[in-house]
This record gives sequence, C-alpha cells and structure tokens, in this order.
Amino acid sequence: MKKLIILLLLLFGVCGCWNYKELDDYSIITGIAIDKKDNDYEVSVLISNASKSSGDSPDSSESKSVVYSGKGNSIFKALKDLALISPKELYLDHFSILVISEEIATEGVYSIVDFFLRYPNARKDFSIAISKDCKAKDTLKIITPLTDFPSQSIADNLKFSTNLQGAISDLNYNELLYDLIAPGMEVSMNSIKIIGDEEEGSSKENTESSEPKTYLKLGNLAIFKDDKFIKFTTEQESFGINIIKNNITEMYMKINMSDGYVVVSPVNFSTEVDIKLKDKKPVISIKASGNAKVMEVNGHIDLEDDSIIEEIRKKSNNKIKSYIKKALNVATENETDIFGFGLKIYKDYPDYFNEVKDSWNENLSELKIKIDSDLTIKSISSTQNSAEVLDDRK
Amino acid sequence: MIENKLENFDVGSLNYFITRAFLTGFLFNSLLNLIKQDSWVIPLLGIFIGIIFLLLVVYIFNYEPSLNFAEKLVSLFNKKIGCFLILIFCLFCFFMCILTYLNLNNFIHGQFLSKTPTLAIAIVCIIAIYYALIKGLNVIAKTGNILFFIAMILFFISFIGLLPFMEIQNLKPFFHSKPTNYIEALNCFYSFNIVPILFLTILPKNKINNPKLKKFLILSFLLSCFTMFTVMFSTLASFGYELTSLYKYPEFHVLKNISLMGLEARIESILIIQCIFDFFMFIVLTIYFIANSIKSITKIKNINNVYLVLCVLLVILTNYFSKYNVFLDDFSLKYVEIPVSIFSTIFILIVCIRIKLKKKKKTN
Repeated sequence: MKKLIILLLLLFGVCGCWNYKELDDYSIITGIAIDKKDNDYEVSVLISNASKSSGDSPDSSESKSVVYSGKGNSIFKALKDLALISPKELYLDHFSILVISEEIATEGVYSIVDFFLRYPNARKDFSIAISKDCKAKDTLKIITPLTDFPSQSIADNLKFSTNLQGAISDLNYNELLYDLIAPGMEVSMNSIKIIGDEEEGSSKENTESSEPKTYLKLGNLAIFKDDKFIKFTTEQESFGINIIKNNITEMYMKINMSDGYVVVSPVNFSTEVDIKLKDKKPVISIKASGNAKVMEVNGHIDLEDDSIIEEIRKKSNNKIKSYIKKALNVATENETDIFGFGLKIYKDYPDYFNEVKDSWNENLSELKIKIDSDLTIKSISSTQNSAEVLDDRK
Repeated sequence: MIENKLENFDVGSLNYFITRAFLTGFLFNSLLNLIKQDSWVIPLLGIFIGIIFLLLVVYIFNYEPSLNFAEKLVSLFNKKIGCFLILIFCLFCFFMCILTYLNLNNFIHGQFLSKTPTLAIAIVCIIAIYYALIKGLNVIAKTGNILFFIAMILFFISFIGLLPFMEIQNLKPFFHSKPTNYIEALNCFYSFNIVPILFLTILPKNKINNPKLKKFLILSFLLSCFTMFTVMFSTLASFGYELTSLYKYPEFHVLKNISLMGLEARIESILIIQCIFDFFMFIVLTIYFIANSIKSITKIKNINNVYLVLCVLLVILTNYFSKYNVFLDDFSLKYVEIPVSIFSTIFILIVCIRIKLKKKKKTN
C-alpha cells in the first residue's frame, strides 16, 4: 500500500514540469534600446515574431519582428510598462544588443548597467552601442532585405567588423562593467547611426528595394569620462584608440605617393604598451608592429623598386604614429584615460597609482609617451606590379 | 542489507567534496573581500594547515578503529561529557549544514529558477538527499565515486575552456593587501574547507577495506586544493578582481564565456553542476554524521526516521532563514569563520589530547 501511494505520488512528478511555459507564451527579446523621454526612461524592445520568422506563416506581409516601447522612471518600471503592451511574457535571456541614446549616455551609464547585472536571466555577453544623431529606439526598427532582425544585424556587424575595420570595437556588457569599475580606465564604445530616413527604414518597402533607402551603419568610437559620454571621435582618432588598446588585427591605410596612392592593410597587427616608472614619473612606450599587404595601387608606382617599398613602409609607420597621436590628443584634451594607462600603472606600481589616482585623468597631458611603429611590407598581394607600371614598360 | 566495506577511494572522494563545499558562495567571496586578486593563493597556502589537520583526523580515526566518532567520544570521556560533546558538535554540524543548504537553494534560485519558490527547490533537493541517506553508507560512497569522476571531467572542460580568457595581468598587483588579511583569509579557508574533514570520522576505520587513510585523505585534499586554486585563479585571471567581486557567484558567470571550439556554447549550467555535487555530498555526509551520532548515544533503532526528521528540519529552517538572506550573507561572510575555527580547533585538540592521555594510561 505504501509503495502504491508513493507510485501514485510519483505519477504527478512525471507528467511534466510544474508551472511550465510553452515557447509561444514568451515574447523573445532580441534587442533593447534605451532613450530618455520627458525625464523618464523609454525602454524599447525588439521582439522576435517567432511564428512569422519561421516561415510557417502563409501571410508573408506580416512583420518578422516588432518593436514595443514602455516608459517609466526606472528601467524596471519601463519594462513593466512595456509588459502591459506585450500580450506575452517578456523573455530577456537571448537579447544580443543594447543600444543607448546619446542623452542617456551623457547622464551616465551607471543608471542602466545595474538592472542588467541584477536581472538573473539576462546574459552578460550582449554588445553595447550608442546611437548617434538618432533615437536608440529607431535603430531597432530599420529592416533591410538582408536583415529581418536589426538587433542581430548590429550585433553580427559589430563582431565581424571588430579587428578588421580599425575604427570598430565590439564592447560587451562585462567589458563595459570592467572599464567602468577598474581603476585608471575609462569607457570607449562604438556608435551606430541610421543612414536615410527612419520612417522609411521601418517600412516594408525598404526590404523590397534592391537599394535600401535606409540602413544602419556602424560609426566611430564614443568616449566617456567616469560613466558619462563626452564626444564622438573621428575615424582617425578611433583608429588610434583601437591601435593603442590592441583591438586591431587588420585595418587599412591610404598612403599618398608622389604619383598616385597605395592602400596598405596591416595584418597580424599588435600593439604593446610598456610603462616604467622613472624618477617617480611614468614613462609610457607604445609600440605597434605587424606586417602589411599592399591592397591597391593607383598611379605609376613601381613596387619592384626597393626604395618605393621603403617609402611605403615609412609613410605607413608615420600614419600609424599620427593615428596614435590623434588618439592621445583626444584623450588628453578631454582628460579621460580611455586606454587604461592608469590601470596598467595600478597593476605594476599600485602604491604610485594610489598617490596620483585622484588627479590621474587631469594630468594625462603631463605623461611622457614614446610612440614607435614597426610595420613591414611583406606582400604586394597577387600581382607583382600595377597595371600602369606594366603598361609603361611595354 | 549486508553492507560491504568502503574502499579508500570512496573516503577520498567524499573528502574531495566536503572540502570544496564552501568554495562557492562563501570562501571565494570572503577571500575576495579580504585579499582581493590574491585569493587564489590561499588554497595553496592552506595545504600546510590542511595536512596538519588531516593528520589529527587520522589520529582520531586510528583510535578504537571499530567505533565511530560519537562512540569514540563516549569511550574517551564518560557518557555524560561524551554525550554533551556530541550534542554540541552535532549542533555545529547542523549549523554548517544549514549554511550549505541555504547557499545551495540561493544558488539555484538566483541563477536558474528565479521564479520558483525556494521552498520548492529545498523540497526537491532534499528528496535526493534523503534517498541517498536511506540507501546507506555504501550507496553514499558509490554516489560520491561516480560524482567525483563526473566532477573531474567537468572541471577539466571548464579549465580548458577558460584558458584562452586568462590573463596574468588581471591578477596584478600581486600581494598588495595587509598581512593580517592573509591570516584572516587562511582562517576562512581553515573554517570552511578544512574543518569539515572532521565529519569523516563518523566512519569507523574498520568499515574501510585495507585502510590507507593518510595517503588517500592527503591525496584527495591536495586535489581539492588544486581544483579550488584553479577555480579562483581562472576566474580572477579571466574577469579581473573588479568584475569578479561584482558577482555573487563569479565562478558561474565566468563559465558563460566558454565556447568549446566554437561548437558548444552556453554550457555553463552543465559545468557548474560540479559545485552542486559538492553541496549535495556535503549535506548528505553531515546529516549522516548527525543521525549516526544520535543513534550511537540513544536507543533509536530505525535511523531512517532520524534522517527524515533531520531532512524536514533542514527544509523548515532553511526556508525560515531564507527570509533573512541579505543579513545572513553579510553575517556568514564576516562573523562565522572565527567562532567556527576557534570551536573546531579547541574541539579537535581536546579529543586528540584525550586520546593521547588514554593511550599513555594504557601503556602505563
């Protein structure tokens, strides 16, 4: 009898999970955008319309994703407000991108990071970007023929372009947290902008055109001091920042020659930052090194001539140095150590850093920094010389 | 049911789990508070203290090999004092058990089942614990054996998966905390990770086949220390101190980075099971300890009823204390280790001195 009762009780256990929920009961969020509206937070979420995106739906006119927005005086309240619109429970486990508006970033990102740290289901590996010249919410709406889910498109683009583009650097949530709380380190993150008209970008016509009128484009880096946004950098400054932070393995540079130009692409590129303390003053040496390939030649430039190759090499190195200098200038002008020099000093000379940490950012301009670049031209790609030079030799 | 004798390896695997049980949620967090990025060094330094403690435990094991710890206490002192000491030690044991069970429930609730009531989690977990207990020591030992192999595989996958993320730079600056903090940190390690070895003394030595306790306990303790060192080292080297100290269970969050050859990602929930094994085996062994101690000094015949009462009590108390989680977190991290270390050190020394005196008396 005892066994029978236990067996009967066990039957309840094997019939399925208690309090289970079907996938259909959830609104799966793939991207989040946070804006400021009337002094409140406006949280927008991009929700995957699962039944439509799977292709099962006969009605292809229905959108595969939908953007809902909620407003509140805290992120949590705004999400709760949003839940009033969504017919299904919001599911935050799989979102891949968080876009924040310039306004939110200017006020400080600490106000938004804590929620994601505490929220148990939010993974901490999503990418973060700042919207430039547009609302963060609008970046989630842009659909193009190649991308049904703008959030995935941004996240993928950030991942692919990091290391390969020079000016782009993917920053995930954990890295943002680290940059925010580590001593002697400030945040730099990628920007994202909408090219074209936001209204057109969210309409179905945008996906039907072979040349979409509106699309998303990754922009240059935005720099922060403490947790507050300061400014967007130029492309060359972004190159420099990423070179110093050793975020680049490949990039490109146009080198002007006396008779045309060449484009070189450094590969296996890396940067070493070495900091020594001399007479109680830090001396920083930045050394970039790697190989470069000639990717494009335009003009009468004889690549079989060693002096030309040497000239390209010298000019490439000078260009890299100029990028680094520009990045250093933007950091010192804005008094923000986006490179983490302070963090490196803290790691190697903690006592010294503790003495100077309060005025570290303000005294960045007084740092002695040596810049060196050792790029060698290893390959001139699949052809030996340019067509113009070969034509001259006929 | 005829109980087979335990193997040395069984005792070793039990020792491995119980010495690791306080790593997640207690030890690592305490060490981070005290010595920040140098936390990884404590399991290595703790080896020396651990081995001294282990030798004392083996010394207790060797005294009257046919008796368990409770019976040894009664034979060492008179029945009254013996029972009193057992009672105090059982209370201490149950306190450690509650801390672990609370931690297990909080961990599961906080990281996996945030919408499930902690009471439901506690009930589900206690069923598995009770089942292992009523099946007897052999099943507990064999469960420990199997879990040990699984834990080892998961440990190596975790370690290999985290290798690409580790940077020695993240561990700097080295040894930059106050010397007293290192002593306090060692005390933490002693209280949470070495003292539980004493619970193994509930196994009478003659229940172990061809006992080579010293060798197996030391080996399993070294392995446990090595894994604890690796967990702390790899977490700190991957996250850095700042990020590690932000999370309540950093060793879980760091596993989220792992992607095996780009094929297997999001496997942190599987890999962290090794920590749940530690909690599980610790609770099983402590309840076994308390129940068998009670059985030794009372006339209770059916030990399964004692297991049941203890399990129910554990669930009720854990559920009650879970209301004070925030307070308990702070309390257990700051104020538990000193009383635990003082109590356990005095206790084991009293027992060992008494054994020595008894042996001297016998030889005289």
